[in-house]
Amino acid sequence: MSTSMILLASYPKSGNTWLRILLSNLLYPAEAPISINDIRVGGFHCDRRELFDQLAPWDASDLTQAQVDTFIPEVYREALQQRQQPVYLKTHDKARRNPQGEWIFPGDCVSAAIHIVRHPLDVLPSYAKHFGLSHAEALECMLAPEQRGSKPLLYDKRRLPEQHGSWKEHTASWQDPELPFPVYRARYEDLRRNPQQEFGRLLRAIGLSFTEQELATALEYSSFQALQQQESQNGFKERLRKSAAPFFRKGVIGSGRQEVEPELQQRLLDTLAPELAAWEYLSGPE
Amino acid sequence: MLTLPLEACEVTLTDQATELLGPWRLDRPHWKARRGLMWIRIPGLAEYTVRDGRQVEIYPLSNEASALNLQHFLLSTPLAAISLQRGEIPLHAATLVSPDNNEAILLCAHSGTGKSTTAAALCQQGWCLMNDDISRLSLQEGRIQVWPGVNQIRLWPEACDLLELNTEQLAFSQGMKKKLLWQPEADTTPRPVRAIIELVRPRKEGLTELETGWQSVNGSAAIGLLKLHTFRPPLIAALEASLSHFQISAQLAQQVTLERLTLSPELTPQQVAATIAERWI
Repeated sequence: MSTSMILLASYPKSGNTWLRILLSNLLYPAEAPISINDIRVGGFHCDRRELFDQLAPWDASDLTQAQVDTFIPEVYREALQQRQQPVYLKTHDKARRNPQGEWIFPGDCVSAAIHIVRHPLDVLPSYAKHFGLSHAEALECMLAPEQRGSKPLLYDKRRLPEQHGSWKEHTASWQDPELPFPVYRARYEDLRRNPQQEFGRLLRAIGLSFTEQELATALEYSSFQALQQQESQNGFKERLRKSAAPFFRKGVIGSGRQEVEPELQQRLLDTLAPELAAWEYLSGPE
Repeated sequence: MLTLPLEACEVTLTDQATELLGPWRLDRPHWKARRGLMWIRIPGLAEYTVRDGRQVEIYPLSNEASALNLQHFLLSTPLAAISLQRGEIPLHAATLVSPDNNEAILLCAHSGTGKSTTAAALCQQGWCLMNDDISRLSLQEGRIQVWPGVNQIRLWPEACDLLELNTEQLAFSQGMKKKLLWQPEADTTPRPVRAIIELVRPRKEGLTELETGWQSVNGSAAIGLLKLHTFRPPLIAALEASLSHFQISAQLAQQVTLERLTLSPELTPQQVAATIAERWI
């Protein structure tokens, strides 16, 4: 294996794109501020059907999800052989094994993962707007996606379908002690409150070197206001076409409390109470 | 029932796994190849062994593997391997014949760009379909020729809606995902190739005029484009077909117009088809 991947893992709408933009501004300072339509990090195109169809033995559109999972480790190995530098891969997939028992992110391809968790009550309205769903539909997806039936989320046909599963499944999957690579975790809320310290900890853990000033500059270029301004001026190519709001929507801690209907809030908090406690979310995102 | 759209090729079913020994130029758990030989498995369905451009053995892995399903996968990578073994280029492209001449236009594109949808829209405007997914190109007396193959178009339900096709009258395609089969008017005559068009559809909206439209692809870029859009590029080297692939590519770059059409994401299939028809009829 000539190089390896660093995974940037999160449930959708949990700060992954922010992390990718920050990394781009940090790793490519000469090009900073990085355009949100030219994010340099995390787009290692293994999630693209075009790459899968070129490197795997069969077209993804002919395969079941289990069969796609069977071939994914081979695709990563092949794709990495064509790379000289470590690559970053953004993923919303839950960590899982394929039917042959192999991790879809195999240990020989991955050197480390960063896993960001955001309070699901704040994820909910953002997830709903992103996928063009009502809050009730989004809650159904986040709690029990297998009960959603055949109605698909609004995915780009050029990408392999994401299997992010429920918030609970997804979050637990990235905490699996058998994952064959180290996982460095952070809560979105802590990254927002204390970005210099928390991002510094995460990014040094995966082996990056930088000064405090370099990180501060990258954070400034990656501020939510700066990203919102770019999106309002130039649009954002990663925003789904049927999305009901800008991609960089609010990013505010606790916005779910104001936006989500009380009965849906209660259902979410009741259902995920043990997980919320484990992540030290007591009664809500705070 | 199990057939390939080419001459002099035997397809047989076998009830015994084929035992093959290395060494291999391509050696993966589900896919192996060397000069004249490719073995490939689709888990839970079947294994295909392809030899010398004229023989395919199929070993079903399940009693539930239907003939239609085996045929569906036969027309994918095994067909591409046979084509390469015969010294052809299996291009991942749709082939269409315009209403007023006898030359073929090929549309190639990365997965999910809308190649089949565009081909269907052109058929609705009077073009004939020669191939949907794999178009075999060969040199015949110094001229590049495309061969007829599968003349049904596999469309996602959303694409059928855009094309205003009545999905209740369409059968589901075989394979694991539920695409629908649409059968437009077909052309079954081998034809000279007039142009190859690569469709590109950037995700960013609001592209400027300079970022969209037609662009010529020449020289080494043309050869690179043909390699990129060959069905299963790893097979070219694995089957030791690089030389014949290059020879046809070089002739193609000389004889045939290669163009890239960058599309604004907002364009409908009908508008894309009209853009192509305007230039190539």
